[in-house]
Amino acid sequence: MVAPHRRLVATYSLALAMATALPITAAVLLSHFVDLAVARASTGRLVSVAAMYAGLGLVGSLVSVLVVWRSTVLAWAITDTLRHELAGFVLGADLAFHRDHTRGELVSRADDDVTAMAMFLSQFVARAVSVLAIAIGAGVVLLVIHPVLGVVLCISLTVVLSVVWSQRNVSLPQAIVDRDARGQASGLIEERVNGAEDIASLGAGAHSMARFAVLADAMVTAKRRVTRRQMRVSGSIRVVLSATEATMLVAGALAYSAGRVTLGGVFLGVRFATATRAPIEGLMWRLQEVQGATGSATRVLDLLASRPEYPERIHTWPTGPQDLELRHVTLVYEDTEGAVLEDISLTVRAGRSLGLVGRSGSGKTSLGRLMLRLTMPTTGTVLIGGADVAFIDELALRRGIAGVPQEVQLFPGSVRENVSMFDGDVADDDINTALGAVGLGGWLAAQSNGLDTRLLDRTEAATGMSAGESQLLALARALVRNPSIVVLDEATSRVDPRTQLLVKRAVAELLSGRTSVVIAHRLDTLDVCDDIAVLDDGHIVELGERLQLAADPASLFAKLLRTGGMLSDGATVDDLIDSVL
Amino acid sequence: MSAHTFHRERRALRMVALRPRQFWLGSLAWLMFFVYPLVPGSLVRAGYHELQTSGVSGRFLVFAVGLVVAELVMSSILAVGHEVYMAAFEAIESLVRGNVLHAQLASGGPESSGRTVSSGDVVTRLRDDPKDMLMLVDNWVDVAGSVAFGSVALVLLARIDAVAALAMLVPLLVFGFGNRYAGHRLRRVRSAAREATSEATDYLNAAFGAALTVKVTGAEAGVLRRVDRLNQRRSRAMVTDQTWAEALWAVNGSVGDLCIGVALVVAARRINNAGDVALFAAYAMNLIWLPQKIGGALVGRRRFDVSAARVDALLPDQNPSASAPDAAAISRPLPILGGPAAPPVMRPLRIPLQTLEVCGLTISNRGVDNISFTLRRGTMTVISGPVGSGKTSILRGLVGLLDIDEGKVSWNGTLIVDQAAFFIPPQCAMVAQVPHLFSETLLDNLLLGAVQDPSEAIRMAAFERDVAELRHGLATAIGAGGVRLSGGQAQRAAAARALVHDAELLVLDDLTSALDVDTEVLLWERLAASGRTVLAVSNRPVAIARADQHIEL
Repeated sequence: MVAPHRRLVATYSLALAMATALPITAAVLLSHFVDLAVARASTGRLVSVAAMYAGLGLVGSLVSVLVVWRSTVLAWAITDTLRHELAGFVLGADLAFHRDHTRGELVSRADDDVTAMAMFLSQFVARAVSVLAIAIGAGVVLLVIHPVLGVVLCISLTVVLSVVWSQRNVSLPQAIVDRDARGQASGLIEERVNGAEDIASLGAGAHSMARFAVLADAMVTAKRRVTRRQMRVSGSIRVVLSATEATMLVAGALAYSAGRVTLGGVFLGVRFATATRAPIEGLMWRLQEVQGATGSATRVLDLLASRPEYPERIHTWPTGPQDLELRHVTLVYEDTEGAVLEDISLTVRAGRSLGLVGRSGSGKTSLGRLMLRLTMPTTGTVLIGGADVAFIDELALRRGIAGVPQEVQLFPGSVRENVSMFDGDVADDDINTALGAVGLGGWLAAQSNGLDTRLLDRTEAATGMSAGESQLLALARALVRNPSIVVLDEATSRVDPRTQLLVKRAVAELLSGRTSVVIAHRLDTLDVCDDIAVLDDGHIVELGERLQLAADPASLFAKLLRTGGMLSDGATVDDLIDSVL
Repeated sequence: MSAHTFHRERRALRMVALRPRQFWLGSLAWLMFFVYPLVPGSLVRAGYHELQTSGVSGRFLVFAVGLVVAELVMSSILAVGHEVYMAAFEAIESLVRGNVLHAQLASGGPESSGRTVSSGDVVTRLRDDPKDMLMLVDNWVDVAGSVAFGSVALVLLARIDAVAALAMLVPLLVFGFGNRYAGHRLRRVRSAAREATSEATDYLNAAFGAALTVKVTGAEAGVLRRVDRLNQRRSRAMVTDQTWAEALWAVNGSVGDLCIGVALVVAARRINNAGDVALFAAYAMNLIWLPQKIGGALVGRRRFDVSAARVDALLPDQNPSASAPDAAAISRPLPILGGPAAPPVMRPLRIPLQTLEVCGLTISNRGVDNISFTLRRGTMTVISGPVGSGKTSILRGLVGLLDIDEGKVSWNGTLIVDQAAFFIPPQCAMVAQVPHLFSETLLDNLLLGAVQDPSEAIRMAAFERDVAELRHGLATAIGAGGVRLSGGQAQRAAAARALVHDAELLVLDDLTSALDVDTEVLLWERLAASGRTVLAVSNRPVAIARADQHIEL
């Protein structure tokens, strides 16, 4: 993942090298100042060395900002590549994958975990690299100038860094307890605030407060324990750092007494020990992030590894009349008993419309999904224009067949984006035409921003669009793409009779001239269908032309119509189907 | 300076007063920590002097070993002090959280109080805001510590060279103002980053939630492009944000070097031995605390205002003439966390219901207009009507979960003034349209602290077979991390929870909406047979058939 970002790596490395060289040079200058001062050098020389030192301090500020900037850019560039891959794979995955993973889980993997990794790279890894660079740089420079002191410094810093590394997980168990206690308390607060009315009306507030008190106590205890452990870790590291300083002072003093180094040399050894102190202490407080970031990385990699395998999809969209055919299709979900669909065979001839009727759980939704290749049949084949859909190229398939799901989902974005589904190639004229065709022309004209009107507000609540209007918008979405096949799962949300009429007209507009399947929930929607299939318990229990079935008093469909006719308007298939089957 | 200049500090100190001993003990350790660097600085200086005058002597070794011993002592003191400090912090925060939760539960939650704070938002506020408020005191402790260190350090340095010591203040001052500017800048950058992040996350959330819609509308490529674009925008904003934040720290490190350089330039001749250079070098690194901590306290005061406002919004509206506008947040510490035991809850006395009269009930913004009815003991009354006709609002207005515009409620002829306080067990028990159960055992859920045998209530709610089928029966944990009940089971559990109290009046809001027909029939049958006084909202024929009184809206 680093490979595509070579230039970013290069600029970062350059900044890092400068940031390492500066404090080392500064320390050498300061030790030089000490030697000059002891030797009673001229004021001019002393001032010039001091001025150079001050100058390095100024430049040092700028360079350290540069390092932070380059490392952050690099970290986010790397993780953006990862985000792209994860999002692409989640959006491309089929129904089986989405049954196994909840939305919250996926967002947490593809967003939160990746952000955690970005933060880890830019905050921890970049810091750790800087610490290592300065430690190594200081060791090497001292080895060159005063070999004896250099050896002592290298050994001391190795000890310090290994102590730091060995302590990284020491407070982890306590940190986990602490986090869990916090999570439980938050969970309790959220739950009780949500149920505050129930609690108030049952006069049960004291009970909830008693529960909270127990958790609050646990939080205090957990905080105490994790703090104790953390302070032990940070304390021991601080003592080791002080010992390094003292060691360099004593080693320098001994070398000085033996006449092997100047006082400035002693000073340099101690200064190198202190120079690493602040960055190591900075790192110390972030050691626990290693664990968290490892967890995030593992989860992200696990998700990437669960990428499902699909058969090679090489076929193009079939030309000619697009019959939609199911041959001996059986569908069994791994985690449920029995088949959802069993040995279904049916054909929708090109240009005809099939209405699917059945109670919830009869398998009609699954049938629609099979046709849309959101799921693959366990056995049997789905064919479009005689070609097995399993092998049709994804892009071609999506262009040829459009689905209208039952739940209309709006996206944060403009009306234009919500109709074109973020396809910038769709012309505004086409969008206007589609909106007009489904009866949203008047609605659009009333929006002051036209196609630029934003559909969701900050809280993701739909703004200025009723349930019925969003149903119409979903139909416009399909219409604008001019597909040759449509699979429509009718919305069940109740809308007023006027809007219902608009929806009915828009459905007719969408279906006309196309091969289509309608999963019907409203009786009057079936008026536009040529054929009717009644599904029950994974089987087709009735299949035929609508008019013929309606004319046959013994048919289930006719029975359905009769029962529906006795009731008031707005009776739905779902209300009636139980009494018919 | 008016008395209100330090109102923030006063309020924060009132919070501290909830655990004063621990808090100030911990603060003392931190004060020592701030002053501590005077010690190793002086030890190293003395070491160099000793080395220059008499070589590696016994005294020199004492100074060197003293460095490590001093660190050991300080680390131990800080370890103990900080633990106590964190415990005090946590306890005080939880007391504030508890008080807010108490207020929320007493008022019926965000829904009833008509505020637009979601429960998730309540959680976020209670997680962060009490801490941010308390941090104000912590900030001032830091200021006190750095001022103590700074003044002593400057005096010691001035004894070597006064001009050099004063000259060091120049970069510190420049830096202090620079820091203020960068802080302003950072806040702006940060809010832009937050904005970009939530935009990217919201979109991803919507796209993943609608993944199948994206697929069946052939929108994968377009949506992915948008995801990438928002991610790139977020990256840019986050890079800016992180760079500014880190730059503040990075510059802090270099300002110390600048101070040393300035001091040496000014007094090149007079700072003429290793010990003095070392002392200037050591103290300069910590003098940076002065501008840093003072700036921190100023920012902390602003953050305090934001957090205090967010916490106050969760508390019931206060009388503006009350002495302290913030009193409710902390004035009444809860008897938790090792305090005296909670006083036993006094349940109101039972007043056997003869008649309940509702007269002219009006809640204008909910479509409830001049509703009157009378309930008699032992009867079942069913209210039905189309969606939006105000059925639920009538019930909620009656029991005080919703403010009513007009109307009188009389219990046995006595006018009830505070309905919310009156309509609780043993007078009244209600089952909401969408009942909430909590993440604890089923038994705890049914009793909610009551001492009762729930079996009769469970039977009446037609819930006994479900309970028997649960693996651990009543001891089964439900909710998050436990068994998830179906919609119908949750409704009947909530019904049993209300029935446990054997209340005079049972108020049911669309109780059987998620039940299958057989269970529904059974439940109404048992309720009717129990002879309870019931007021129910339902459109179900089964319920209407059982009703003694039917109100059609």
